[in-house]
Amino acid sequence: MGNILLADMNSFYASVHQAEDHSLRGRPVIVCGDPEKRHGIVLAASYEAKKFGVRTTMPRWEAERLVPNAVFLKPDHRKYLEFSSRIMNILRDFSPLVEPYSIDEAYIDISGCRLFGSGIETAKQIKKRIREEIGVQCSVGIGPNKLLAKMAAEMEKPDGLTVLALEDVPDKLWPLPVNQLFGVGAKTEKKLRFLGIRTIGDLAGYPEKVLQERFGKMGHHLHLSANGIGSSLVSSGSHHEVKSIGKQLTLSRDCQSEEIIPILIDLAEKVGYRVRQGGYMYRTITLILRDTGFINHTWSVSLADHTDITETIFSTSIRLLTENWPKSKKVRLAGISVSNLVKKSTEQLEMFAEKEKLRKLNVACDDIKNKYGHKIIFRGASLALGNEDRPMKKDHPVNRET
Amino acid sequence: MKFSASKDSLSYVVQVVQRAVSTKNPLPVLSGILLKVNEGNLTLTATDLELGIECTVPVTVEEEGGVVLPARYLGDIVRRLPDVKIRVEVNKENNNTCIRYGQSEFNLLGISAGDFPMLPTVDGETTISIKQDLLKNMIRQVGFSVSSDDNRPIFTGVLMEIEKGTIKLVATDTHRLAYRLGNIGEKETDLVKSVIIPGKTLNELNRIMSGEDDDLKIAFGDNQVVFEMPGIRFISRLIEGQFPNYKQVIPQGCKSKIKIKTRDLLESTERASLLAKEGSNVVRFSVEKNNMIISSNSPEIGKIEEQIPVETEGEETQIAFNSRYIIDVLKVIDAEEILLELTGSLSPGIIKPADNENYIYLILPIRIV
Repeated sequence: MGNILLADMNSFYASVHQAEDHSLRGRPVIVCGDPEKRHGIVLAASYEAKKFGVRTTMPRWEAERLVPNAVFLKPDHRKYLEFSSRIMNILRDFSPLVEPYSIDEAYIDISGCRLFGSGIETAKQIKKRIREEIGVQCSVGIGPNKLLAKMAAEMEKPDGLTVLALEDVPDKLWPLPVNQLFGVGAKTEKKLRFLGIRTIGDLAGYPEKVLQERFGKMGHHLHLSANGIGSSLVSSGSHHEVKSIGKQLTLSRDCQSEEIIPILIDLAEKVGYRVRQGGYMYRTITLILRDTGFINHTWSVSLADHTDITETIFSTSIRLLTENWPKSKKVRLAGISVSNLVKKSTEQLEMFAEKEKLRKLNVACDDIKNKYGHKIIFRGASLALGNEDRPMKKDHPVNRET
Repeated sequence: MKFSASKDSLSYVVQVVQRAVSTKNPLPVLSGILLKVNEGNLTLTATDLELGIECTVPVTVEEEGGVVLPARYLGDIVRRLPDVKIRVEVNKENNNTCIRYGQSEFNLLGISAGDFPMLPTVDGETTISIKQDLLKNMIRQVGFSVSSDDNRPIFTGVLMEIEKGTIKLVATDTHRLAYRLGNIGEKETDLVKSVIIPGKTLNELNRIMSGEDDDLKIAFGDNQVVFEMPGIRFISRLIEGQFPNYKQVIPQGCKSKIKIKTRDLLESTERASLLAKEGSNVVRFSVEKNNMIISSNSPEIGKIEEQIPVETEGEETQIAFNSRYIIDVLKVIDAEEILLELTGSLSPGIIKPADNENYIYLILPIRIV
């Protein structure tokens, strides 16, 4: 029985721009960072661009060579988030059990509801509503568990609808190269090739014992996945526990420790905002610095008590920086994350007005940002930054359009 | 350098100075202990440049001199030496040190004594003297309230105020504040002094002090303080900055005055804290005329409710505190009964021994949002 659906938006970022601006429809649209800022890689390409061989993570110059007449756009993450939440809301009309898997993918468990007909019927209605109301195409995969739903969605792109039942696994899944199996990355693929495993079928038939010896727990997992067995637990967002909140930024050029202080202040500002918006308090602060040799260094400090104040994030990060990083050593990427999170249900009062004042100030700034946008208010130290080093989304260190 | 000493006196001096040895200082010599012998005495010195400890014992000196030995190995071997006469001899040329006991010997590679930094000297003009047992008890009742947040160094220290023949210690982490007043006699009436001493220093000092009726001398320098006991000199840097005006936050008067048996409150709070949520440790106190209800709950685990007898003057009220702050203070109050003074659920509470006014503990409540 196919009770689990995965809806995967096709070329999401590019599609959002095409949905917004009708003149872009039918044209090759490529979303990528600014090449001047060292992260000028393709983040998304419309199917019109993909036809010419453009792939995500390709450098911009390569994409320009392949499709000289493409429309190049800077990413607009706020718009993507807005589209994403609208899409998730549509999905929640079909079942309360919707697990957003990424910004453009979500699992839906429809086992409890037959209001919309069979799995295929439901999938058709989902596709229709997303196409009509959002203007974006998606591929839907249907399976008995999350793994097969995901594998099914991958099989037909764009605008696909594929059912993958357990009995289809030998015919449809096993002939595929093993790196197509969800959860097998380049490293695992290399190790598997060493064992003579090239297809998913090879993996499915391989003695599980040997896999477990080689890969530990992961070996067991690989064996099950190759045989089409996986979890069907779809947990809606409310059960989703946030472990940490962080932001990082690839700098526009390699910087010395002194120069990154305003960047840390800016990152702390963003992290603190997100902590408070989520209603959390943190206790541990981690500073991440990548050196010019692409080696990441991290240091953490745990406070005596939980707090949600921005100032504590940056004063601690700056202390970690000055204590641990040689002055002349260059930094390529800086990041801050906070963890040890608890939901803010109580508030320890403070004796000297100092922290209480900061807390009020934080909340006032948050309110202003929520009302008028993030650029309306910022710290004086951020003026020292060129616009290119203002921190953006954690996973995509690229610029927002102004 | 050449001397002989008993195992006991050797392990005593090492143990006293060892806590000042630097654990993460970039100067390798600071991970060592300086040994010096002259005029019939052996003096050991260790410092991490924040705190320095010097300890002297009489030994049989054959040849004067000095050496720096790695603290870890010195400490480990001295503790394990047999109870015989120990002879220590240092090769002047290469600082190799031989520790002989019976027919055996232990050799350590040393560093030249000249490389070890000198402990700063403090001129003894502004000094006071205090009984060790008094200071020890004062530190015990105040020291635990310092903050561990290095972002705000002021609060990692203890304020020491000397004035009109009294000494006051105050420490706060901004959530709670401990205050203790002590009398040091009339001789010192002229001296007025206010310094912030690192919490770590006082805790280490407490470890070494005898706790008996012996005198301890405190001398103040510009940015150092020295504590002197027979045979031991203890020197620490002071924390710079302005300690916040603590007098302002101590409320005058209250709306509810509750007398409780110290042990009742401690034991109930400890049990209630078992279910207090990790992180915030919220325990609720509900004050009635003759009873206090102590409760906490953790939605996924369970809940607890206890009732203890109290004598309340004034309003009935409710308040929530971090249980850790309550437990900490009840452990250092020696009186059988305490007074808890409250003014509503969002104002600071005060805990003090029922029988004297020398100790005040201020604690800020938790707001339930």
